[in-house]
Amino acid sequence: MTWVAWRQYRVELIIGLALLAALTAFLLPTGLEKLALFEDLGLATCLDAGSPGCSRQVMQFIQEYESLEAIVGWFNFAPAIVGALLAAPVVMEFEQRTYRLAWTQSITRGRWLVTKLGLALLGAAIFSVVFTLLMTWWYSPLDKVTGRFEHFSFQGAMPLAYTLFAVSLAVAAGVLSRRTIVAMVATIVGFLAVRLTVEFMLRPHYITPLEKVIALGAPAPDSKPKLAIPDGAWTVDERLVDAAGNTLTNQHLFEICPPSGVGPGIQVERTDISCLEGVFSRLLYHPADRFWTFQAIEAAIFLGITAVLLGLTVWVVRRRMS
Amino acid sequence: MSAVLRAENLGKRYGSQWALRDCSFSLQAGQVTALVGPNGSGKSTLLELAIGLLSPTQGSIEVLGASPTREPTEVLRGVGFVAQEHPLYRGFSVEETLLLGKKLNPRWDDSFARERIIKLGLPFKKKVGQLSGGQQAQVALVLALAKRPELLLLDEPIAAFDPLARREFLQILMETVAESDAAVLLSSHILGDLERVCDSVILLVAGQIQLLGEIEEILASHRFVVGPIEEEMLSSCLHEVIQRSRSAKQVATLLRLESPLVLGDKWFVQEPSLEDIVLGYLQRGDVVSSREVEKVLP
Repeated sequence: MTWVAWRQYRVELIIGLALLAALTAFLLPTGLEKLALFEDLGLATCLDAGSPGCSRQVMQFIQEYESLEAIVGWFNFAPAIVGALLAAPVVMEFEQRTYRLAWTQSITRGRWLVTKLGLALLGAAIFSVVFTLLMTWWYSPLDKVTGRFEHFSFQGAMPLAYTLFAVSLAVAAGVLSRRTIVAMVATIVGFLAVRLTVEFMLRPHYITPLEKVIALGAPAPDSKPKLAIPDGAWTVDERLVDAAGNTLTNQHLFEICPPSGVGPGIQVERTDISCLEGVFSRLLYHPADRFWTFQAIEAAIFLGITAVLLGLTVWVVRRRMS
Repeated sequence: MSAVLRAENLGKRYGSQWALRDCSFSLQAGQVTALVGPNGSGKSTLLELAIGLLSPTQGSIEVLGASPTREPTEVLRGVGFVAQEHPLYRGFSVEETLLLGKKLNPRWDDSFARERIIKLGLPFKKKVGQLSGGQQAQVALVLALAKRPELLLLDEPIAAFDPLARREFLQILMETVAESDAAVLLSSHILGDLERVCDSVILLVAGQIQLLGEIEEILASHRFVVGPIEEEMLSSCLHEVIQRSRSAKQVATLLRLESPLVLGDKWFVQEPSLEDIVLGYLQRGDVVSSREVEKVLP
């Protein structure tokens, strides 16, 4: 069965390798460039010293990355595409009805399913490991500046968890619909829905965020920036509140602190911030050392869904299709 | 001798619809049985129950002494199956298709398979998807035969063949049975050429067995009689009427004989062909109960 499965994965293997090669062709030169820039700007020493003069270099460095964001943003789809690709040889067996050939040789459909799923999941794992290593290396200079939380989805266990989820979603959709196109569309739509929901609605709340409240009106006790939160922390919420903790809108702020000079095109500049007495900046954040806990929680969510989808596939193949 | 296949009250339901119901029969080694019936009569369902692609809703089926769904390994090794659309991996070459057979079947007879492909004049390197429909059916058949099965299940095998290939196919089938003493169950919506190679028939209509038995016995127990309409009772009271058509003065009936046929001298008696008998049953509205079917069990 292993030979048969390998033979069926030949095309997918070639496409997968081509995809990795294309990613490498983009990431390797740009990554080397960023590493060099990190050195040239002297960011390593300047960040260590914590000198305020570092901000200009930091801004420039971050902007260098942001110019590539338009491309790298699409890499979020890589797990879905690879998942759909690796599931295709399984789904096509149902669309072309060749499972009736496979299941009537001398091996059971259970073994057939284990071998084919095993190979798809193995392919997903190999892709994820290479992809994760590439992305982690690529982001490593920026991570030192912004913290790892900013590139959470490309690091640690995330690519692996996402890709395994995408494979199992595509296979489950395939055995239920028995149509490759339906399965592929369901994979992309389902993947996006779950990924976005988890990233934006669940991830900020895995653990209760820490709170930091800073009085704005009071003069800074020392030279350190006022809004400092620990290095590498992930800020999930930032707002202005009054002493009672009510959120203040811009409207409120204008009432409390009317601008001294307002006119068309005139920048409002205030040196006297005493009117901000009683206004606080409240930050909710996760410190950097929560990174791996968050990785573990999100990996568990995706692997849990993966297990349910694989269970559904096994049930459909063994019970419903007989 | 124990049966190669034994079905008892076998039934399969999809939702509220019975695709097959109350099927009881058995197949012996070396027996070639035609499974005949109109489209949608449950032929494919029956074959798929025998190979374990489907599991029964009702009753039981035993193949080579094992249950196809509960003990699939026992059954799969000894049974060759070609599905109706004879699926193959279109991207595989003929050579790779044979390698698949070799890898997936412990009893695989590689020299037999290669010989057959050479005899058929099929190129080993060619992709299966580039072969004609008939050639693909041949490859699928080779795949099933090289398993050296004790039971061969073929779903509409002759549909894909032109008349010449059909004759060749039937010849291969006969050779195989003679060599290996395998039992064969092959389905077809028409009887046609199959009559020459089969020794038994199962007629399925709307999921139920209408007629079952050895062809010789079926032929011996059916008569076509034509006589004056006023003496109609003579033909119908002692025998089961399968089909009847009346004209102004004459009545023509296809009878299943329950006892020696006794008729007046105004009657003509004909020996119907198997095709006539099958057609008679197909045109009969009602369905025989399983008790009646048991009477014609060999």
